[in-house]
Amino acid sequence: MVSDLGMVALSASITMAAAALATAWAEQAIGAAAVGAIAEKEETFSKVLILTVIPETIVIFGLVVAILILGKAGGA
Amino acid sequence: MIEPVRMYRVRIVGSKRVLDDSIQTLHSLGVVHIDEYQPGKYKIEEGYFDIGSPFERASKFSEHLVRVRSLIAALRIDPKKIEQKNKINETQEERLRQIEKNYQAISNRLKNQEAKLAEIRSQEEILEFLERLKIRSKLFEPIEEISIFSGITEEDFEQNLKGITDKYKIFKAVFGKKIMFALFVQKTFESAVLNLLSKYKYREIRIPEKIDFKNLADLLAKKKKIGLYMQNLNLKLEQLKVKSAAFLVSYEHYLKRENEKAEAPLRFATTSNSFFIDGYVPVTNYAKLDETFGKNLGTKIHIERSTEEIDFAPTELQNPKLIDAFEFFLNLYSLPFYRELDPTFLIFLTFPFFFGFMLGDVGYGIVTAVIFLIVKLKTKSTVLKGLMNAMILASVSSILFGFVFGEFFGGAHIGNYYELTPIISREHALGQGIEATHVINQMLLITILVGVIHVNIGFIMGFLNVKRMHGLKHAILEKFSWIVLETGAFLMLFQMYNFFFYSLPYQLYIGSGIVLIGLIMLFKGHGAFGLIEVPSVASNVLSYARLFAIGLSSVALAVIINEFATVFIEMGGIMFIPAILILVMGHGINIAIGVIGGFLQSLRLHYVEFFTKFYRGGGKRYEPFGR
Repeated sequence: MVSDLGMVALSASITMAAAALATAWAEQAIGAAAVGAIAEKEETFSKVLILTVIPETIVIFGLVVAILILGKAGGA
Repeated sequence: MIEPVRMYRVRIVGSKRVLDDSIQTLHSLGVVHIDEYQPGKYKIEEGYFDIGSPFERASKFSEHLVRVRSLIAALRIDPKKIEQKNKINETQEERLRQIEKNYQAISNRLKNQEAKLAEIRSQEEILEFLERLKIRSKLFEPIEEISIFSGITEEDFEQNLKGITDKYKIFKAVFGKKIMFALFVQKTFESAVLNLLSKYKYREIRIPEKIDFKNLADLLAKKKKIGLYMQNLNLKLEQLKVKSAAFLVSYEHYLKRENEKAEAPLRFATTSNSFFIDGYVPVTNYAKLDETFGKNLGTKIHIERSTEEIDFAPTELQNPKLIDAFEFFLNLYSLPFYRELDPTFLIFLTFPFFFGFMLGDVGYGIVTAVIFLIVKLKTKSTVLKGLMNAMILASVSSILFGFVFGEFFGGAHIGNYYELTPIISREHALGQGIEATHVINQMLLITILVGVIHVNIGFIMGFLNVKRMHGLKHAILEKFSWIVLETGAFLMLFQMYNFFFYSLPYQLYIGSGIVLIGLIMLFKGHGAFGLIEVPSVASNVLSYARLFAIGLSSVALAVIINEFATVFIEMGGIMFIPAILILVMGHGINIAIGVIGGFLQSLRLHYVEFFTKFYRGGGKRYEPFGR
């Protein structure tokens, strides 16, 4: 029997994992294109670097949601 | 500080007879950014103007330039390391030819010697070949019915050879990891054998039937002699380099400038008898420009300035020292448009703040400050120097935030002497229970508040930008609408969550009314796209939570490293060594991650969340003619 706290912790970690995977997925696509762009034109490095970190927002959302879920556990 | 250097648009018109003098004057002033003429640039004048033709001397300058540059490359001169002593004011055909002649002479002799050396090497190989196989060169006299193979293969191939024929004679010897061999085989099998050999990476050593060179010792002596001679030649080359480097570098500099001047008419509009220069000059330099032209050319030339049609003027940022270090971030992204505001000062305020918030640790801040200082002192690149200045400020902010969070290499103690008392302890967020929840909530609230402020500064900047370029009405509809929208949204939120002890009567309705007004303004300003943008602003604000998240991961790593090392320290004795190793390497890696993360994330908050609210970019850099 899983306790309520366990369920909360589990859902928080699933949130985190899914968000991180989504970020990784998005970044791999951008990263691949970025390396291509750099190979063609080295000056694009700085711009492309910024583009590559843009999806990091997704994992931050995941973190915020995970913290909110854990907050439920703390309050309960 | 907050806006780029103001410019005048200048037009210089004169007769072609004074074109050369005008260019000289313009070049020596070095303040006018020339706006190049392209056919079709001026609609009205079309057909009258043509691109000017370069002065005849340009071809001579460019020819010399090619020769000088090839010498600089051939002698491996690094122009950055050469001090330019004597200024050169004229073409120096004779001296250039002399250096070329000297260089040619030495390098020809070097090539000769290299060829000789290669020949000796092959002779050496032949001698060694005969020696190892214990055969004489006489064997290699051509016989009609027999094919001869001699050389080196990667592996022994004799087994496979037997599959082709057994009528052969082979001499073999091991040569390092390879096989040296001489093979005599019936001519009919020649192509089959060659095919086989090629699979074993066969390299031929051709043996002449008569050897007219002497023993190995003799060859060695010859080689040594050539080596000495070549050393001598290289020394001469080095002397030539030392002697002519300063001349070549300053001559190149001179030629480059002269060539630029001689080819300048290519950038002007001309008619058959007159020329027309179109450009931009900083307002503060205009008086000097006018005066110098008046002195040098008097009434032969006409100069006109205007403050109109200035939208496409080049951008020159102007910031006081210290703040200008942050111009780096604009150069990395895109220079502001001439009419736009220069956000460097704001980046100067917020970049160190964000960086410090993420890497808030007294110890880490000190370490990174020292590293950046060393890099700054060591490097010669001005770009890197500027960046390091910015990073040092960021490190200082790290130290300050270290006191706020009470962190020194992840712990609260500085040695045994001093204990930091945190205002907010990020470390508590790693624990459990009410305390952790409290810290997390507090930190999230703070970061989101920072986000709201930062994004709104962006909207205010946007308001000012739009007002400068398109007028007040547009500015209100496009940018102020966001602030209206936010105000309404906050009124609603506060009411719903009972945030304040005081609330207006009907606050929820008033709030939603204001939101509606904001949305209508937005729709008028931006159209449907504006409405689509609404959720993205909310996500932008939430994005600032990374300030806390990234800092927290850095703290967690630091704490783990410390705990891990403590285990070893408690064992005592020799276990201090691994403990120190863990501490140094662990914190080293954590600092590296923290700096990269802090830098990138902070940059990203500026570029993605902040700049999108007001910044257009795409300005041309101010590059005056003659500087």
